[in-house]
Amino acid sequence: MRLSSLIWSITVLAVAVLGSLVPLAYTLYLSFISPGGEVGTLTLKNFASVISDVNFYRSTFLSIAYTLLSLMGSLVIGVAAALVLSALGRSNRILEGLYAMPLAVSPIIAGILWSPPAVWDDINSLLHVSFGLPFIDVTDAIIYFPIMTLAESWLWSPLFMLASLIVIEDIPKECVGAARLMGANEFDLLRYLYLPSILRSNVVRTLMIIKSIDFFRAFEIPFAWSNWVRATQVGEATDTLSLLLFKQLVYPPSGLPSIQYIATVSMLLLGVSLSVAFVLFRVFVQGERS
Amino acid sequence: MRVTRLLVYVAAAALALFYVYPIANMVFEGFDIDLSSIYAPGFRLIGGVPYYSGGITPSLTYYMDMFRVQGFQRLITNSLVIGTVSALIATVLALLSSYQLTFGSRFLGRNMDYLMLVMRSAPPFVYLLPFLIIAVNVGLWDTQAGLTLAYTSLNIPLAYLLVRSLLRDFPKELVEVAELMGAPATAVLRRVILPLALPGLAVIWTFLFVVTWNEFLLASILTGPDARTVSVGVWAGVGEQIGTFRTVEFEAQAAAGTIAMIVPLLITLYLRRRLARLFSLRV
Repeated sequence: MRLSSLIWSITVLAVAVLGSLVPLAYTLYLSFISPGGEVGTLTLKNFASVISDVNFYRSTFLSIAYTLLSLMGSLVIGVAAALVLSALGRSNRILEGLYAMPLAVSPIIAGILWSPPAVWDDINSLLHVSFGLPFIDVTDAIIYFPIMTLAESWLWSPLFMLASLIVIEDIPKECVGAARLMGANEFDLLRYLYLPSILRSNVVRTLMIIKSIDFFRAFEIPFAWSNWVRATQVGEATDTLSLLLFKQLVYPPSGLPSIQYIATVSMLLLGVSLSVAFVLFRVFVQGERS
Repeated sequence: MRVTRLLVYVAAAALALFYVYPIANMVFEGFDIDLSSIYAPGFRLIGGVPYYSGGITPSLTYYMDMFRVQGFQRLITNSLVIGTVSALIATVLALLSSYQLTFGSRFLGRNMDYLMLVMRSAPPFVYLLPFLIIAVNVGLWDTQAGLTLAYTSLNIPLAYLLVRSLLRDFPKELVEVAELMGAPATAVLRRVILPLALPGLAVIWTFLFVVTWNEFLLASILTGPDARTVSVGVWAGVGEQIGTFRTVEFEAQAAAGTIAMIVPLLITLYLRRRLARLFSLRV
């Protein structure tokens, strides 16, 4: 019995250490040491330099905009797809499979699929040749930023669709029947039954929070676009926080990778993660109580 | 009523086009079939950048080049090994610790849940930096072992949260009866929990495998030519160094992307509903 409890304790410890404490402690340490300073001397200089860096604020703003647009796009398209499938009735399984296909695509491939030489080449050709419209200049930041979020929505809206379908299918048939008996039409069902059920469900709320976090730290699609539009310098319109940190590591403006800068920004973002995790925790606990 | 039905069909077709066209386009491009050449052949300028519509010239050139010349199969092997092992270790560790915290210390469980939620939300560089520095110093950079270790660490918080959610729905009475009858914890886990939780654990493992297979950032920094994974190979080309902002030929990327998508596609289509249900995390 003693041996088994020792094994359990070691496992729990291994999970905590490997999953969090080692990366956390090391990154925290890196954020407090000065690049050229003495070993063992801790300093707050890194935090001061990040806080006074205009690129950090620009990237934070871009990440927030990116998160909001991607989340809205994923939710709207995903819920719309679920409602369409639900309206089609039993014949929707094949269509559901087709709609779910993007979930299998890795984000970097999504970045390639929605790139100028791929989908946008075809869209531009169609607009220009068939309708005589001018080409859309996808290298313009005003154009490509929403396209990046559209690619993100394309990738993740199927997850919202599947979650919404689960919610719709869990609605008791008696409720729908009763609403119809009371004279509700399709629009009333959508407005007063389906949409509130989807938006208040635990699974969709959880998805919204988890995907918000993921969109906030999005890397692959902005990275792919920074290549297509040649935005290789720090401070470009593709630079979400993750891409900013990547550029600082791989193409540092000073010539040397800014490990301390990256660690410091990561620790600041971890503060955001702590708050988000707290909100998540509350949502879960509330869901459990209800 | 008829108009509503018609609108539903139109919306269904539009959504199908939206979801499927980019993938179909990639698959066709991999076979050197440029769909846009049907209605717009030849050169054109897009945003000042010249593009050439290659036309419809079906060939297996890019696939043959990928496997015969560039050895893409090595990348597939790397992804399979690294994804399988790291997802397995993360799932097993998550199962053992979740079991202890679900049926043992509940107070510790709450704290661990919070810690793991924080780590699930942490920026990827919190993992990347320590592992990059450690891997370079101990000779694990560009090795399967190094990347497996990094992915195990990255996957543990998510695996833990998912397994915890699974075990919370498990009938506690069964565990209590087994314990009352004197079964040691290992026997309870092996004979009571595992047989019932195995399908759920398999879905969790599969999900982690797909996440690992598709991951790009860590793999692009922690590997060079030897341990390169599929997702990095699709972008950077086999054996090339990442981070040069260079582009391999689009058709080659499309062919590699098509191959890279097959495994996750089969898994996703088969398990799609269960994958969505995983997100009703209950901690």
